[in-house]
Amino acid sequence: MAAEQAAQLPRRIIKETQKLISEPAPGISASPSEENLRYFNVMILGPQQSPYEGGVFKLELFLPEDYPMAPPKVRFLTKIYHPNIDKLGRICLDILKDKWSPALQIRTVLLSIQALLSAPNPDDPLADQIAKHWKENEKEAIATARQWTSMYAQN
Amino acid sequence: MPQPYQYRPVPQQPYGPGQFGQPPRPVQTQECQTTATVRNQVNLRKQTLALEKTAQPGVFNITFSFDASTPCRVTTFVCAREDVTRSCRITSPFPAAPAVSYPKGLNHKFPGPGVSGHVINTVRAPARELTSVTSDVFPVVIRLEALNADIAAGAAGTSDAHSLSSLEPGCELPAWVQSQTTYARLVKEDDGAWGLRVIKQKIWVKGTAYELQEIYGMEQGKPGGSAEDGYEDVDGNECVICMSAPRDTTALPCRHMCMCHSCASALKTQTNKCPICRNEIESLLHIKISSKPPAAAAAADGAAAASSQAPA
Repeated sequence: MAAEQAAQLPRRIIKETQKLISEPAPGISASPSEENLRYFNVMILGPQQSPYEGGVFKLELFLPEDYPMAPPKVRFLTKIYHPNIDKLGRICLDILKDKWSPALQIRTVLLSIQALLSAPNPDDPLADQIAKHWKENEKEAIATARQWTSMYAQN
Repeated sequence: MPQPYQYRPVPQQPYGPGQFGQPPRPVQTQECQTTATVRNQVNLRKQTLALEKTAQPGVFNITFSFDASTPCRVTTFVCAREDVTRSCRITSPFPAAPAVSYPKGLNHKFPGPGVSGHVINTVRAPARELTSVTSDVFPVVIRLEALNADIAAGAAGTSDAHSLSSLEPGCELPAWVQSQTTYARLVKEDDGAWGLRVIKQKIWVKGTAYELQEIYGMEQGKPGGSAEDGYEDVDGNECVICMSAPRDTTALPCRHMCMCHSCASALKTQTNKCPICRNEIESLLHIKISSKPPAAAAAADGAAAASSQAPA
């Protein structure tokens, strides 16, 4: 089944998958699902010195038919308190939208998401309430993010 | 007949929120051109340009390696002014040392044994004029001249046959001369010693001057792009889109050679942005690189997209 699928998969996706497994980026793991080699189960460790430190965040990543001309679709499955991630896990990140370039890869996308956890940007919010909280009382918002991390991202 | 690509500088694009919300528009009119080849008969290897101490304190020899596919000669100038309205004539307050002739050959070393006088005297010339370009005066100019092979072939055996030895160093370039001119300036290296840095290179072909522009991502034989050239994670010289076929197509005017021909064709139906820098692609240039010996690769390093210089 998987072998049949792999035969139809573009060489680029096979290469990217192999490299993600053989040389994973620090704090990131991504492996394709057995049923669909374009669907990846992703885990990102909360970066040090961020309110997500100590958390393990699950995401799903899907490579659409026209990848790499079109960006991968990525979503957090683990609940996270972050001004650029909404309650459905959707991520506000320019490279996943109009700043996508086919020179980017699964690895670079996941590294960007990891960086977004270190540097929340409440000026370009997706979750309005969280962004407001962040701007009005950053200390308290960070405490909430820490609390959510221990509630939802540690088990 | 294909023409050499006419280079225009890339306008700096702001990267930021100002650009949001503009979907990339497909480019219908954009064609993929094939390069016209201008045979670069003489090429100074930029990386080899250096200064060498002489017995006299503060006086340095200009040294470099170069390749020549036909016999040629070398002239050097210090604190020289170039007049683009007069066929790139070069004038200098310091008299030029006699031209040095070389047979055709690869990896010639300049100056050869017994050649002297091609020096920079850091005591005599003011440091400011040696380290910066001021009102069209270049600190160091090196010109490699050869007979244009096409014109020489046509004139062989007739009374039109030309000879380089009839030319004064730095004179107005006739159309039957093909030359490459390298402009450089002195820099202080970290250890305090003087070094030489290339500012630009131009070639003169059949009466037109072209500035040589490097193509990014064209390096041959290096094991893969590294983080420094922005193609991290891509092995070897593979297209950044399919990661399979070799890169042979350059986005213009940004000069990023990052795609194979077929991915470039697919890309242009979707977007007009360069995958590497996101600048607008005005045209695509397909460069056929033959897998010839390293000498050809070295020549290709010097041959890049060229820009014609309109006389002022």
